[in-house]
Amino acid sequence: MYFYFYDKITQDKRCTALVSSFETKLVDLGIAGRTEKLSLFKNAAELVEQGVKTGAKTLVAVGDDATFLNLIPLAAKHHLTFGFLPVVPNSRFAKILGLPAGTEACVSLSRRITVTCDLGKINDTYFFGSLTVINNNNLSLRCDQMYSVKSNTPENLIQIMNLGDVFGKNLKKLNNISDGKLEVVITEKTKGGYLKKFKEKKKNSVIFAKSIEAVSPKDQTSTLVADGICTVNTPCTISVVPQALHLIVGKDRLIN
Amino acid sequence: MFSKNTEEQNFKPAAPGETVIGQTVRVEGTFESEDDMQLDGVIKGNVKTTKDITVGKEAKIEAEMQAANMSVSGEIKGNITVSGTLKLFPSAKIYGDITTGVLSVESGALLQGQCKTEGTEVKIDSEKTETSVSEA
Repeated sequence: MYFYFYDKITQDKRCTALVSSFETKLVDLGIAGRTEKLSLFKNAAELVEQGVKTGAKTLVAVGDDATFLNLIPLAAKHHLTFGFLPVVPNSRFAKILGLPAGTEACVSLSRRITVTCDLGKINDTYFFGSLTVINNNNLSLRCDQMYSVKSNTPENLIQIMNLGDVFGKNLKKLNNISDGKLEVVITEKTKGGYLKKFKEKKKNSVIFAKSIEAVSPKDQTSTLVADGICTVNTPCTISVVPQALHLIVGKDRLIN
Repeated sequence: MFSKNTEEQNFKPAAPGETVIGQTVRVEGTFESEDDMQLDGVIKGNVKTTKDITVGKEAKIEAEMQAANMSVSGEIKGNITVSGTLKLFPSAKIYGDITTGVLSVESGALLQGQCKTEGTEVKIDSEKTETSVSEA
């Protein structure tokens, strides 16, 4: 059974026409199901749990990119196949999943092409794209309990990628979503003006690991931001959960 | 002429699966991989891969190293075992013993230690860190 979760944004006047055309199309395609709308008095976790109790096997997020990211942990927790119907133009995740705009997204949903993907986990919180370290205060990343990685300068940008930087400029650089590994990427800050492009090109540091302990020295703390929606302070444990999520995708998807 | 130059454009992308340690990164411990490695930073401990290692000019490594093939332009303090070809470029500085199938040394490279070349490939046991040398 399909369970459609309508986020608050669907109640916006600009979205109501699209949402009602979604509903008509879903009935036409024979994939209509239980619907729940998020409101002040209804919590997303409770709504999804109720849906699971009534036999939902597929969770569909109807909303924007934030809706998509907020529901991923719930879909993984309850082992639900996860779909997305974007109600806003230029949705990053619609592009990544290869979903067309408007009611054509319902057609992609009905085709039910699924990919199984890994999720990252920081303490007990899942993340889909990446973690970004905000303040790199001598942060030490102990990888696979074998070796530690440190940046020699606080200016370097440290990211820990599952799929990759989903809000970055270049979506074509996304990683393999089911390789069972996380990627630690350390980007050196470059200085210089116009002549910068004539300097020798450097490579970002790239290290692969399955589990990482992020530890800061005493009296110092670093903050890691998961997919831009959740922050966690050090010390924390980061790992990859292989094949944690079944995603419904379109044919023009950027992930495999 | 004044085209936009972003931070991103100033970086070469790593090859898929390639491990890269940049100049401003420090790694300590047992560092193992099954892919190629490009090492330009500071590394202490053990480094082992079943594929190739490239040690850049700026690299400072204090480690026992094992690889299929290795090219060195930086400094290594520690023993090196290579099953295929070990290339030492002019800026290379090696303080340790070398066991390799084929050794190529360019003029200017520094080597302090014992060197054992077989002219044939050296077998590297993938399970153990110890090496066994095939008979020439």
